[in-house]
Amino acid sequence: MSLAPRSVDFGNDRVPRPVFGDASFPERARAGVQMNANSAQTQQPAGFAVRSDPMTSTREVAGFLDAASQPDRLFVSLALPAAEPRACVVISSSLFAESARNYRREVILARALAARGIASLRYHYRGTGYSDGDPAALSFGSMCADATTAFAELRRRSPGVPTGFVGTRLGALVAAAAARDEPSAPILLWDPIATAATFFQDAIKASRAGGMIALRQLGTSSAGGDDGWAGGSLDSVGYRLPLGLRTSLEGVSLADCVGPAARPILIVTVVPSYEPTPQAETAAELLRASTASSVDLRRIEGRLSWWTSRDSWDPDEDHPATREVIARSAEWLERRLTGGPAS
Amino acid sequence: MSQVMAPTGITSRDEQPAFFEAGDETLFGILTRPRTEPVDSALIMVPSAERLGYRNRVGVMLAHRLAALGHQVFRFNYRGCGESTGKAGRFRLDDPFTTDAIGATEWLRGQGVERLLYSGSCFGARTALAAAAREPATAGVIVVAMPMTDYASGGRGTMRTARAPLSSLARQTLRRKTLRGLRDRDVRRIYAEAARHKLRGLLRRSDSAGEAEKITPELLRYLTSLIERRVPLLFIYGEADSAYKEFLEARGEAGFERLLRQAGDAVEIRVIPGVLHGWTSIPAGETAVGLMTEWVCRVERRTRTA
Repeated sequence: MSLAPRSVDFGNDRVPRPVFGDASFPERARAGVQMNANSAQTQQPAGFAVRSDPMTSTREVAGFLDAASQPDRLFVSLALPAAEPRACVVISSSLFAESARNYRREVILARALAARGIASLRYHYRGTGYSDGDPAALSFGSMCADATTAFAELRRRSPGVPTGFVGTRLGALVAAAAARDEPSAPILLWDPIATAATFFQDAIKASRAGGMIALRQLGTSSAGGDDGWAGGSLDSVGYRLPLGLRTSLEGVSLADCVGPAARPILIVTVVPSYEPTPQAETAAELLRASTASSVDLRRIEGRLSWWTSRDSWDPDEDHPATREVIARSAEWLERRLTGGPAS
Repeated sequence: MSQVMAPTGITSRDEQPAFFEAGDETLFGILTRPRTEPVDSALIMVPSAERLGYRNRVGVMLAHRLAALGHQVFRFNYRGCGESTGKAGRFRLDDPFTTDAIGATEWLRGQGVERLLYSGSCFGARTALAAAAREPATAGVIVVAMPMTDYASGGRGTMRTARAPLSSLARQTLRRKTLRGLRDRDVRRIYAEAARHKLRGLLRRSDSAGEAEKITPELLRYLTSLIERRVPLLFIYGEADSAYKEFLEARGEAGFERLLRQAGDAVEIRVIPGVLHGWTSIPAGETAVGLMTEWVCRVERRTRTA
């Protein structure tokens, strides 16, 4: 049985109105920008870091976001145009190795959007990255609540402008769930998975591969017994996945998260040409079959490894596949949210 | 839950995010402060070649644990990584991101920090040593799974491949899987590197003076400088790390072994079970964090007492 995100029990995770720790901060940040030659801001308000880039007329604010009803703060990074934004976008990443693998691409996308006049907010889920929180308490519910917190903050800062949602891999489910309250908002999904089962299968495979390497080296193994979930968590290539996360995602599907409302959806996938049916294509077909949304699929030639370390160490900015992913994504979001480039 | 993973009471409310200058770029970092009285020292956690520095919040774990014990910790993203600007390029052990670590040092000095400890893993260890050797206020350095010779990120595999006999390599080249790999830009680069290593190896064999070095001269210079200044050093390896094998081979070199003996108790070498390199094993990572925490406390206690 599918569990639609609306029926997920958010419990205490639901937060009414998040605000920055220093309520006067956004105003001060707007007023107090002082740039040096390298674009860094020398005056930084407590609790936040601010950077302005005169080359692109953009600004970045990174810090910890208070949510009124909970002690744990979210690490957030806002990329803002210098002028009033024409639209805004919440970017929901995946988790663990997948999040680390895609981190820079999300940063580059956020910067590209800011340069086009679109504000964006990226965040670390509670219990992960720089955010506060208990890693063992991570669940689909807490991830969706964090997306809600992030969205509310972006809305507060950019009231009345069109909103879009971006999600990668497991984050696609979170982005789609967060978009449910904005029925016509466009959703951009990078390499989405139809269900979380794919995510956990990949984590288990990586754990086993890591275990085999360790065994080859000195008879040690990082993989647990059976399917690796012994002891209430799975250790995979240095990440600890709580069992509660897996349980919370049982029965959750991307199609259910997206819901029936008609909205524009773009799926971007990076796969080698010899891959006959990439996972993203399956996800696109499922969405076409189950929603009234218009679903476009853009396939970009390349190869990404989400859990293993085989990857290019070229700067992400210079990787042809990354360049294409960013260009197509930013272009599509700008067209869908604002009708095209500002004159 | 292990003692290392246990909550420390330190949260983001004890942290100060910052953008700071390093060379032509603006880097991002987070300073974690203790709740006790202000301290005049800080541990700079120099990232490894992982894009965010540390897996599974090892960086957060170490910073919070040390702050709970009264120490100040700064972690940052290299250029082209995380929230920083710029491009990282390809990580090469012979080209550490010293400018970035020096930028972090300068920013901390602006925050009133007078004594600096550095820590780093793999590429980060080499960068930490390079920065520490240049910095007169260095009070200690922790190097984790530090390679002793130079290669580019991912280059160890190609070096291993290149050691195979020519006939075996020729057979491998003609395999369907190998040929299919030629369609992939990254795989083509790996093949080219393996070929270069092979060629270099063949040329070295024909040159009787071409014995491979066991420790990079630049690294030896940094270590010599720090040891002569009596800066405390902690080496941590996983016993299954290939870098540990390199370390043992380097100890076979008279110069390096003499240097370690000269250092006396200023140098500690700790070896823990399993693989530590890359922080891919949580038990090994937790053990390493425990050792690092205990060492920083001990070194700082000694300095404060003195």
